[in-house]
Amino acid sequence: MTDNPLLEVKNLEVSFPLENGLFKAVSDFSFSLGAGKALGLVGESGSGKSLTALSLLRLIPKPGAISNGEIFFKDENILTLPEDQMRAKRGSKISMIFQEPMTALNPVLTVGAQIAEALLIHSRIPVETAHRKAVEMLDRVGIPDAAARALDYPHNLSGGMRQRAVIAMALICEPEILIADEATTALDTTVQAQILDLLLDLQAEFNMAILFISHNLGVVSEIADEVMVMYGGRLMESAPAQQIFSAPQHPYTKGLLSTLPRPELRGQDLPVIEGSVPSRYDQFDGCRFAPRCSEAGDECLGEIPVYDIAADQRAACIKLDHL
Amino acid sequence: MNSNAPLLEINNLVKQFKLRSPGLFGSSRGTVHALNDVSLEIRKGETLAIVGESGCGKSTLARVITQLYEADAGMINYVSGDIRKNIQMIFQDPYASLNPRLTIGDIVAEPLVISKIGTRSEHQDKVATMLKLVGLQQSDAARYPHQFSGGQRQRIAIARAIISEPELIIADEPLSALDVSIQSQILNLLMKLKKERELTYLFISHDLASVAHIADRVIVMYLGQIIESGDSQQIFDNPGHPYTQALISAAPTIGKGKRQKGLAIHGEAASPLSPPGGCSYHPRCPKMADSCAFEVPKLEPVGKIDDFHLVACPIVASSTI
Repeated sequence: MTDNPLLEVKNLEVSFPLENGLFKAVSDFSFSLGAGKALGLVGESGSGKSLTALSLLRLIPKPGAISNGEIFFKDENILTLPEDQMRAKRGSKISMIFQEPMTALNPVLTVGAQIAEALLIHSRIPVETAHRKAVEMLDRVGIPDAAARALDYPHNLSGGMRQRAVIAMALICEPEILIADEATTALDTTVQAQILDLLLDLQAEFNMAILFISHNLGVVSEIADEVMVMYGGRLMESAPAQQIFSAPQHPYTKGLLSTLPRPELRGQDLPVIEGSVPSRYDQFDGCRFAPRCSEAGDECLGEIPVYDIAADQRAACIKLDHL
Repeated sequence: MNSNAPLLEINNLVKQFKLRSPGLFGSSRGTVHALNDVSLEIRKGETLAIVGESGCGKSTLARVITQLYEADAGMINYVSGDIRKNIQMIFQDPYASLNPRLTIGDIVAEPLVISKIGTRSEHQDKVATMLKLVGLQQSDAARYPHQFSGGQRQRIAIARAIISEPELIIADEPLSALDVSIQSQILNLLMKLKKERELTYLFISHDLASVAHIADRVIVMYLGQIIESGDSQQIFDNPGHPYTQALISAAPTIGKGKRQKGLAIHGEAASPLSPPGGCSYHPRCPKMADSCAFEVPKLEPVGKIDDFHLVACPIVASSTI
């Protein structure tokens, strides 16, 4: 192994054909993820966070496509791999858990069978062994009486138990990267707390890297080592978690954090970011946040690269001092 | 705030849903106990928040108050007459709550049309006033819902809710479908309208941060029952019930570093189809005593009798006197 990170994404661009040309849903997005690290990806609707996740699995829904960039997984560009080699990695080396556990599970298969299926696809082992391992994994993710639950169908389980089953399915092949896309959003707060604890435990146990995607800044703050903030398909800012929440630099990150209710402002007007999140029809050059940014000027209308603004902090804002 | 007259009184409300197998003669598959002996009052001019997780009965309560559902038992006393005119709702999903085939003008005017208030030209004037009030343009009245973003749609839903000059607005998760950067806009708008138009809000939410921000009083529900109520400050600064404590500590916080493990309460709420006997929270409760499994706790004052902080937990109530 070299010193390169486990995963390195360079200049990722995902685009969709529209009536009047290409819509870049993700553009010029670069980041890296080290083994055993938890990287948070925060963004609002249309920010491109889910498409970034799907890019890592090469599962961008048609007619969309990865139109530029490179994704290195262990120094191998997975974008140039033949499909059968990619399939061997998907769900085995890089695996994903989704927001809604009911739609991620097949309603006509038992929970145990679906978890074993992932193992049977990726390794040559007897069915009995796969099923035994599925039960072990269900037990590991905190499902009581796992042997009996393995024979249940998804509708027999509660929401929290279903999400545990989905996590068991994602982990059964011991992936090196786990992508969690709004994995706790559909859960109740008390159950969300349990699932976050579970993910942190499993991450340490399997030395797994996690890409944790959420619109909820609080959840990301509790799990991530480093945080990236996306807006309108672009990276706005990235920094170690403590730093981005205590000393945000990009006007969007600053604005977003300032709008959150907090005890000192109980009952008073909260700061707002005027305007709406851009849709795919709002196409323009320059900083995507500029139309809502109180600090924007003419210089924001050109191409804005992502600058290094501190040793471990990057931001796409031309107004900031950069290294 | 506490001295204000009640706008609405609810006593011993019960709502159950019978589940049946499909078909005309389908057999009974049990009963969902959605609301179980719920009593509360909403006082004029306050923002009363109801918090709780899925299945706690908070949305059923809203629907019984607006008479979308009929209660099985109990009484609702509407102090001011016509509920159709005096109570309006704002729903969670502004993509589902606006009819895509009506113009914004028709959507916002609908409560007036239904209540047969005013003429068509009066409606148009009033729609224009309402749209301006919620931060939209008069010209938006001719457009259709799909031409608006989620936040703008929620503004339209708010304009529709206030046009008939109601006294009480029930807002059921009005922020949770909105983008984070839009939520504070809508919170500010709700608070501005309340002040300007002397509204009363019943604010239903699972998001504790926005509840702490907007609410004067808070009611916490669990499996169809009220387990704690009190002034917002009391509930958030000094939660009494073990469930309220768990709920507040489970809410993710920003910038405090990675979560401390081991604080999450175990288990999930039981199904409202078969709530546990005694205190419905006892299977998850770290403070559970033997009696909790069979004695249904009553709401009792915590600490000083006069400070309106009630908790349905004999263990907490007895330890603070």
